[in-house]
Amino acid sequence: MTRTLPRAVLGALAVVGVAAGLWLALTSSPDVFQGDYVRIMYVHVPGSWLAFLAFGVTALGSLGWLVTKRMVFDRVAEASAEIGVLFTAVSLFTGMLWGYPVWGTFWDWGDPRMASTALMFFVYLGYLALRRSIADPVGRARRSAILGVVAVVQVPLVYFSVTLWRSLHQGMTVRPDGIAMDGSMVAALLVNLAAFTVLYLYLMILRTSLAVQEAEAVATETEQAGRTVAKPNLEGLS
Amino acid sequence: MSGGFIWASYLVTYGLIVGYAVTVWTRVRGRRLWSSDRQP
Repeated sequence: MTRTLPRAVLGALAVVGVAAGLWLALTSSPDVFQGDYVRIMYVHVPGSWLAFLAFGVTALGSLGWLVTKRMVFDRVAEASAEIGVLFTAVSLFTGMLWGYPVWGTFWDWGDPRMASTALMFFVYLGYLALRRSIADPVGRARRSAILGVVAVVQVPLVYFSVTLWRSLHQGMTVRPDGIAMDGSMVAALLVNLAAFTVLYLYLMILRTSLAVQEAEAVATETEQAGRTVAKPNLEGLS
Repeated sequence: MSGGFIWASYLVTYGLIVGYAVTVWTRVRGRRLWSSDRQP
């Protein structure tokens, strides 16, 4: 009860925040060029932000495991990678649904941000596949920690791809000289970013607790399997 | 026309998130019931 109460409170906060974000997203000003299509931004941008955050946490968890060898870091890395893949999928799908009416195409491999985001999605799918392919917990933690640290280089690559190469995507909206957006749009975007971040924290707690339970279950089963093996009777053989 | 793309985006986003949350929550709940069932 005491362990699940903060989780329930965080879950309730996430639901309220996402509902408020949805209301603001559907009532904020339409864009002067894109009209109502700009409303897709309020789920697309938080999806991308959470993918970056989640893969950053995966890298930190991986680094934590490599330095300390404490399994809690491995579980955090695992949980965060899974949630990161989920939000990368959100970003990719909503990006395609935004791209068609605005750019005239669902997908363009020549666009550096689309291509690098797709690559990041598949690399982290590979990370999850790697974890499932190794039964030994320590070997799994070591190999996935190395991949978790290496794969995070894609995050700045995806983020800065619009300034490094020619892209269909617009340049950065948030710059040192200000934000190039209407006030009601900024408010809707910030509320959605905050609500999705709370949602990420809730999902992290939930998914990490599942990883802990699964590890405990494997340990219990191994111990019980060991106990059922009877000691051989070697009397009379010598 | 614009409404279709916008609603599809929101449906995909919340569908994926709710689907994932319910799946993990069910697995957590199932594990808890499984372990309490195995207590002597």
